Amino acid sequence: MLVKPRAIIALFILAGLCVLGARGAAGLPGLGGLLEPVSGVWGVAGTAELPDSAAARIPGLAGPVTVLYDDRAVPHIFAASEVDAYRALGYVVARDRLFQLELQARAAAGTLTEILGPLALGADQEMRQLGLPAAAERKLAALSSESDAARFGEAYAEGVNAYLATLSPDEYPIEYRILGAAPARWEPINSVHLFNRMGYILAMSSTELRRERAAARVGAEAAAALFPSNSAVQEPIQPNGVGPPGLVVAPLPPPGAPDSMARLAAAALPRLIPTMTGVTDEDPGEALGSNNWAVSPSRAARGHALLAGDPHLELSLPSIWYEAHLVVPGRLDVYGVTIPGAPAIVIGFNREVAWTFTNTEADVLDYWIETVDDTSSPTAYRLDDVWQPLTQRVETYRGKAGEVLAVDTVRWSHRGPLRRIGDQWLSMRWTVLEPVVETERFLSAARAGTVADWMEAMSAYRAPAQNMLAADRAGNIGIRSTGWFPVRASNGSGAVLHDGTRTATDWSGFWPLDAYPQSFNPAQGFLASANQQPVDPADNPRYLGASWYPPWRALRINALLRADSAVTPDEMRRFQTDPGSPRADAFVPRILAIAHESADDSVRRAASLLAEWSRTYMVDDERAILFEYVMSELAAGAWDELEGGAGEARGPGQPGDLALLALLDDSASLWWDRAGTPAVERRDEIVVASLTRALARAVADHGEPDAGGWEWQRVRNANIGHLLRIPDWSANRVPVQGGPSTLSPLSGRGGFGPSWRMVVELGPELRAWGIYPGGQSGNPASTRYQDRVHRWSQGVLDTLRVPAAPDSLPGDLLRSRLTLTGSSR
Amino acid sequence: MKRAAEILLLAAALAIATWLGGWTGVPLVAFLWGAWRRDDPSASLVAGIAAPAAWVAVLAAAALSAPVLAVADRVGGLAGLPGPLVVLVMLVFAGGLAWSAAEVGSALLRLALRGRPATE
Repeated sequence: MLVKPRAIIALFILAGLCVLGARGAAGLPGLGGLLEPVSGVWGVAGTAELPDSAAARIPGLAGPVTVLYDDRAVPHIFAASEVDAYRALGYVVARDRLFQLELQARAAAGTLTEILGPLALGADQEMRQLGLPAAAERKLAALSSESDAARFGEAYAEGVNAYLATLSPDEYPIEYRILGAAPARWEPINSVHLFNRMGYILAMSSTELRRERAAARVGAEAAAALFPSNSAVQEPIQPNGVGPPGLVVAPLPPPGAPDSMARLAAAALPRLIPTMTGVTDEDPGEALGSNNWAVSPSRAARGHALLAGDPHLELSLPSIWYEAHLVVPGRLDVYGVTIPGAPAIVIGFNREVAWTFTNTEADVLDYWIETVDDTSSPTAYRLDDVWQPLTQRVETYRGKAGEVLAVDTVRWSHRGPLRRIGDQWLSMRWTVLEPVVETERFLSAARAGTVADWMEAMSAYRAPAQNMLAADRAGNIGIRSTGWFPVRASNGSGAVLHDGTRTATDWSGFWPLDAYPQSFNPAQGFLASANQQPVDPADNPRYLGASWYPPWRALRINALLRADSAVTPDEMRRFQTDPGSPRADAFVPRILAIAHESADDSVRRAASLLAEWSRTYMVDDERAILFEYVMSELAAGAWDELEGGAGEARGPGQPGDLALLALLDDSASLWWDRAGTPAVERRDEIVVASLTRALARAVADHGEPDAGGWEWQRVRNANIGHLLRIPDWSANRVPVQGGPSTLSPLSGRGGFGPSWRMVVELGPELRAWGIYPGGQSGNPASTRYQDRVHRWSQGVLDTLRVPAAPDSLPGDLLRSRLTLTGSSR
Repeated sequence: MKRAAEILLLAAALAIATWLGGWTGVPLVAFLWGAWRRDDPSASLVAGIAAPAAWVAVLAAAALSAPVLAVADRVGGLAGLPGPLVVLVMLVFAGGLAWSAAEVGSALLRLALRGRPATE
C-alpha cells in the first residue's frame, strides 16, 4: 500500500481543521484566528484592565492632558482648553467603549448590515425610511464650522481615531473578532447620528394608533375616553396649585358603533410611527418611566438645593451611558454621563448647577396624505394646485464584504420623508429631523452658573423634547418642558392624518418659549416630573400631546415630597427605588370591597391573601404577583370588546389603569358585559372571577403562597442584555425592587429600567452620588464590565469623586494615569 | 532526552511560525517537520505535542500581565462552554493541526521519494 490509512485519516483531519480554522462553525468565526495565542482573541485581555500609567499621542492636541481614573474607573480629564478636553474625551471613551461607539452610530445611520450582515437589514431600512441618516447629513451641513459643536465634534473624532490608531488587530474589542470585522474610523457625523437615535428611542407615541384601533371597534367617543388626550388625574409637572389630586375619574361612555374612517388610520399608522420595534421586542410604553425632582433649600435638611434624576431607558451592557469628568481651569468643570460617541456631558452637574431630564412625550410628529403623480413610483406631489417635485434619495444597503444587499428610494416632500401605505403615500414631519444639532446646547449648558443660565443655554434645544430640571448652589430650582412643539392648523391636534394638498395644513410655527410648561422656585418648594402630562389643561388647554404616562409615579413622588419638609440626599436616593404603589392603593381597596360580598371560598381566600399585601414591590414580597394577576384578569374581563377575533384587525390593546378605575366605580357600565355571551355580566361577577382566576394562575405558575415561589424577585427581574444579545455577556435575572407603576418601574421582560441614577446636593461643598447598571468598560473580560450591577440592583448610589485639580484626587482613589500629548497631524 | 529536546526545538519553531504567520504557521511547519522526519514513526506525535506546548507557553506569558482566563470564560460563553474548555479546545486544535500536517507531510514526501533513502 502506497499510503498508510493513518495518513489518509490525517489528511481528512487536517482538511477539517483547516476549514474550521479558516471559516469557523456554529456562528463563530474561524477558530484559528480566534484562538491562536499571538494575535487571537486573547489580545483583548491586554486592554481589559487599566494600566497603572500610560501615555499616548493625539494629533492636534494643543497641550498635554492628564487623565486620572478613580477607583470607579471614571476618567477625570484635566486639559488647558475645551477643545483638548473633548479630544481627550473621544480618546478615553473609545478606549473603553469602541465597539459600542460604532454599533450605536451604525444603528442610527442605518449601516448595521455592514458589520452584522443581512439580519440587520430591516433595522437599517427603518432608520433610512424614517429619514434619520439623511437628516443627520443636513444637520451637520447646517452647522457653522466655527461653532463649538463643530469644533468639539471634530476634536472628539480625532480623539477616537487616535485611540484606534494605537490598536493592533488582536487588540480590537472581542465583538469585532466574533463578527470578523474591523473598527471603522470615527466621523463627526456619527455624533449627530447618536442624538438622532436618542430621538428615535424616545419617540414612542402609540396612543394615536391605539385610539384609532379602539375607534375602529367601539366608536370615536368611547375611544377618546379610553385613550384620552388629557390625563384624568392631574399631578402636572408645572404645579397647578391645587394640591394632591383625588382619584375621581369620570364614567366611561358605553361601547359604540365601529368607526370606518378610523379603520383606515389604524391600518396606516403602524407602518409610520417610529417605535423601538426595530431594536427591541419589548413594548417600551409599558417599561420606560423616567423621574426627576428637585427640592428647594427651604425643604432640604441641610438647607441646600437637592436634585435627583433617573432616566429610564433600555438596559444594556455596556451601559448606554459613560461617566466622565472634564476640567478646564476657569472655563469648564463638568461631571456626568455622556452617550458614548457624543462630545458632551448630557446629564450631570458642574460646581454651580446640576441638571437631568425626563422625556416630555409631546406629540411632535404628524402625517399628511399626499396626492402623487404616480402611486407606484411618484416623482411629484400636489400642493396648492401645483405639482411639486419630490426629492429622491437612493439608499443602498451593503453587506460585510461591501456587496449590495438592497436598494431603496426614499422620497421627501417639503414636510419630510414619504412612505407608501397601500395605494396612498403619507409624508411625515418630525422635529427630530429638523436641521439643528443639539450638541451645542449641552456644551453651553455645561458652563452655566445658575439655573437661569442653564435654562437660557437650553432654550434653543429642539428635539427630542425633554422635561429639563435644574438646581443651583444659590438655591434655585426650575423645570421646563423644552423642545419644538408645533403650532398646527385645523384643530391644533396632531392626532389626525392631515390633507397634504394644502400648505394650510402645515405646521405654522412652534410654541414660544414662554408658553412651554415650566416652573421656577415654586411656593411648594419642590418640582417633579415622571413623564406625566406637563401642564394641567385647566391652566393651558393648548394641545401638546396625548401619550402621557399614567400619573402613578408622579402621584407617588409628589406625595413623598409633600410629606417631607427636611429632605436629605439619602432620602432622595431611597425615593428612587421606593416600592410603594399608588396604583395598588387605588385598586386593592376597591377590589376587596367587592370581594367582601362573596361567599365563595376561593374568592375569600384570594381576597384574604390580597388583603395581606403591603402594597409594595419589595424583592421578597409574596403578594404582589397575585395583585398583578388580578389586574391582568380584570382588564381582560373588562376590555373584551376591544380584542380582535380570529382574522380581524389587531385591537388597540388594553386602556390604561385610570379607565379601569373609572369602570370599577361604575358597577352598571355596559363594558362589564362580556361580548358574545347571552348572559349580562356585571362588575361584581367579573371582579370575583378575576380573583379566583388570578389565584389559580398564581398557584399554577408559582406554587402555593408562602412556599417561596411567589417572591417578587422570582417573578420579575431586570435583564441587562449585551449589545449583541449574547446571553453569557449579559446580566440576567437581576433582582430589583419595584414593579408596574412604582418610581422604579419594572417591565414585563425587565429590559428597561433606570439607566443612570443621580443625586446632587448643591451646597458650599458639592456632593454627588450616582450609578448606572453596568461598568465603565465595554470589554466583557474586564472586571469593570459589570461591576456596578449588584450595587445598582440594591438601590445603592456610589459617591462620585469630583476633584477640581489633578492633585485633589487622593492617592488611594487613583487607579490609573493616562498622559496625552500632541503630535504633528 | 533527545525527544524532549526535539519537542522543545519544534515548539520554539511553531511559536515563531505562529508569531509570523498566525495559526496557519502551525500546519506549515509541522508539514515540513513531518516531511523531514518521514522515517521517524514518532515525528507526527512530536509535532502533536510541540504545537500545544508552544501555544500554551505563549498564552501563559500573556496571562502574566492580562486576564486571559477571563477572556476564555467570555469566549466559552459564546458556545456555552466553561473557560478552561476553551483553552483545551485551543490546544487540541493546535495539536490536531500539527499532528495531521506532520503525518501528511511525512506520507506525501515518502510517496514522492519512493525508493530513495531518507535524509537523516
